[in-house]
Amino acid sequence: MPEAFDFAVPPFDRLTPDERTTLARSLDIGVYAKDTPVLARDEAADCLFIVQKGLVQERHHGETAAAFGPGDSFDLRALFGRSPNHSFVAAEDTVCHLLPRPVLVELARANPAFGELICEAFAERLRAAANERSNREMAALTMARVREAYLHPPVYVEASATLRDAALAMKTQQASSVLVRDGARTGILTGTDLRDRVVLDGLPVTTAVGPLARYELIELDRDELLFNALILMTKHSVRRIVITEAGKIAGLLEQIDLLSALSNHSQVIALQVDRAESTEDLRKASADTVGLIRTLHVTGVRVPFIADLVTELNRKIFRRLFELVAPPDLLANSCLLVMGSEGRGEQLLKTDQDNGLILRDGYECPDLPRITADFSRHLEEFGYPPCPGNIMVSNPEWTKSLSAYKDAIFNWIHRPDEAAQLNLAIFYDAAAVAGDTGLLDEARGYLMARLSDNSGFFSHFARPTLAFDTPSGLFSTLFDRRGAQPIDIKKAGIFPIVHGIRALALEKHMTETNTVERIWALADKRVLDRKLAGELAEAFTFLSTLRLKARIDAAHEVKIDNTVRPAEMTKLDRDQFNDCLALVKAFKEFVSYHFHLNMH
Amino acid sequence: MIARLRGQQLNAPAYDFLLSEEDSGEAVAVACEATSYDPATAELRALAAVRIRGNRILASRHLAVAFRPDEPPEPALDRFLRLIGNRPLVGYYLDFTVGLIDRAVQPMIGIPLPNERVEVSGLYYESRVKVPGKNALNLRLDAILGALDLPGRAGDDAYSNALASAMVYLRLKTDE
Repeated sequence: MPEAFDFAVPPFDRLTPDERTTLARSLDIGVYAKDTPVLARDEAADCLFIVQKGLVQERHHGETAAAFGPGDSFDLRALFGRSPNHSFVAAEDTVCHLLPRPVLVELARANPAFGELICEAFAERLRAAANERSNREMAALTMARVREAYLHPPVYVEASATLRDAALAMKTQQASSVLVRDGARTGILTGTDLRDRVVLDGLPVTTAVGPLARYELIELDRDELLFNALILMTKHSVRRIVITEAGKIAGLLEQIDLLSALSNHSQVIALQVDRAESTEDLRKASADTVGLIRTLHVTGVRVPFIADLVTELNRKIFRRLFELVAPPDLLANSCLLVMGSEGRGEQLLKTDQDNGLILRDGYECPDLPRITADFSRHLEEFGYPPCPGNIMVSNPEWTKSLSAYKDAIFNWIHRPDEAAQLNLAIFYDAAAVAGDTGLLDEARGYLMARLSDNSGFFSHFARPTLAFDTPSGLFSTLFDRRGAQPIDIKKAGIFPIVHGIRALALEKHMTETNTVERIWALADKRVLDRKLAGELAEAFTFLSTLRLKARIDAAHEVKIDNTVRPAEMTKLDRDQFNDCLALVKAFKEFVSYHFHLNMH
Repeated sequence: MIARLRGQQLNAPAYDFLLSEEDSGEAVAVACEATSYDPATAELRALAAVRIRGNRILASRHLAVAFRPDEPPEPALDRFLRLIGNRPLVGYYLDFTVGLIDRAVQPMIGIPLPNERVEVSGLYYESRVKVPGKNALNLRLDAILGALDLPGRAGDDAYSNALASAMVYLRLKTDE
């Protein structure tokens, strides 16, 4: 075995001489140039990488999460599952030994000391992964403020009032307790107290409430965390606490309202979706997502996390609904797709239905029109408006066999017209949510294979990036002084990034669908330099945040509003907004140069 | 490649695969040990071959065979030919290695090795010297490994040399 493998490094130092020979014989060697991926994002590894020379960095959302030098090995997580959004990139010219998974597994089985070290390392990686996820969910739970829960307005009675007066006040004000004013101090008397005093103790209803009220109020400020309210209630075994604002009593927080505020939590909804036995159950769960998004947003959870959660929930809802309306043979022979922003995982509130169905060739479902119509109708009831372009399963254009899809793809590419461009863009973003995902893989594989290196095609495809004007930062600053023009943030900022990145990704035959993931994958392929990639990802996140804010504020209006008014932003937001617009302008120039869009 | 074969015929149908047009996308690094450095008279002592797929050197599936004066060379050559197939050959001082192999193989199959050849010292020279004739460059294999920051050779045997050539090739190959 001529390759010099360093057996002094744990866990390999635990191996016996025979096992070392086995290991050395089964090693392959990987040679990676600086800045090239060793293990791409989401790629499952078939082997353990042991760095022999050079340096490998683990990247997560464009940041370096870990570095591996000579003797270090990675990545147990990728070896036994997937590491979402993690990629491994050679930071220097690198040579790695590659230990095939079956050999590693066999050695771990045969040598318990070695296996133990491997398991420990693996468990550690899993824990890190679990933390990443639950942190995000916990953030939503623990960061919520009392302010977001419903407060019951305080109902006051004087200390001289009778028990009967108190009961009457509770009844007329629909309160479960009253606050008792006794000079400077305030006490509380609850419905339970009334019952105990009158029914059990037999006090006359004419007794004054003053001496009976409890004056040690359990108080919490309105800006405290909801979580602390829960802890207080549990600690004192009470079912309500008094909420103060600037030292004054603002209202009462009931346990039930606290729990319902906390249960807007994504997992609860996810559970409801999974357990839904009827479309009615599903409708209720679906209605809760809007509340969740608001809670998360006001809690200050970052928009990409919200988008991830909402994507997950929406897809769960779509999948469950499809399972409820479709017979098992249809499920087995079709693939339900979501497309456009749903497919990219970037929708924040309920957006238009953009979905389709690929049927296995040769499969016929006589009841199909009724089922697809049902599906679209239910989604509409759940609050997902029908797609204005009619890109829905209920439209036969988007519910057809795999070969019909292939024909359509052929036409989009080779006979492009205005609609073909749009369809291709929407389809390229498709993600499978139910049924046989292999059907989408095959259709997408066909799309990739049909794409030629014809630069004319890509120019044509990329051109809409420039379709809408992006006002420059300076210009909008001038406008600020006399009441700024509202800006359509989707047209001016978000669409150019999404479509420009989509065109670049399509040119490179990438399978990522999410815009930020595409940005980082393009950086990995050195189409974008890392600095521009970082700025674009950040700008995209910021613009999406502004858009969500605009839409949550306008949520009571039926029409979806994409306009933002720079004049109404804080100075900080406005400056960043202007920077983003300047970056979008620069990116458009990059796209225009890359695809030769200025040459006529 | 075809021109070089004019007038010669592959006369062993079992080795048709050597002329196959099929592209496996792989290359194969080869090296030999011999009794001298004179290609006309040197005798093969050992041969090593290791396949290269994408970024990877398939070291675990390498072939290393020894030739002994008292044994017929055909079984070893057969294993070697089956491993290299129609893949491009990669090596250091490759003409010497392939020259020795050809002398052994031609009587067996009727033609010299038809495979494309990639000389790694040539790759290295091209990568370093942009103006021909201006610079003297140390083209010893160990010097190349050092200059490219690759691991040194583990020995002077055929397999160590094939492995070293494969690494130089992967480091310098300009793909896509």
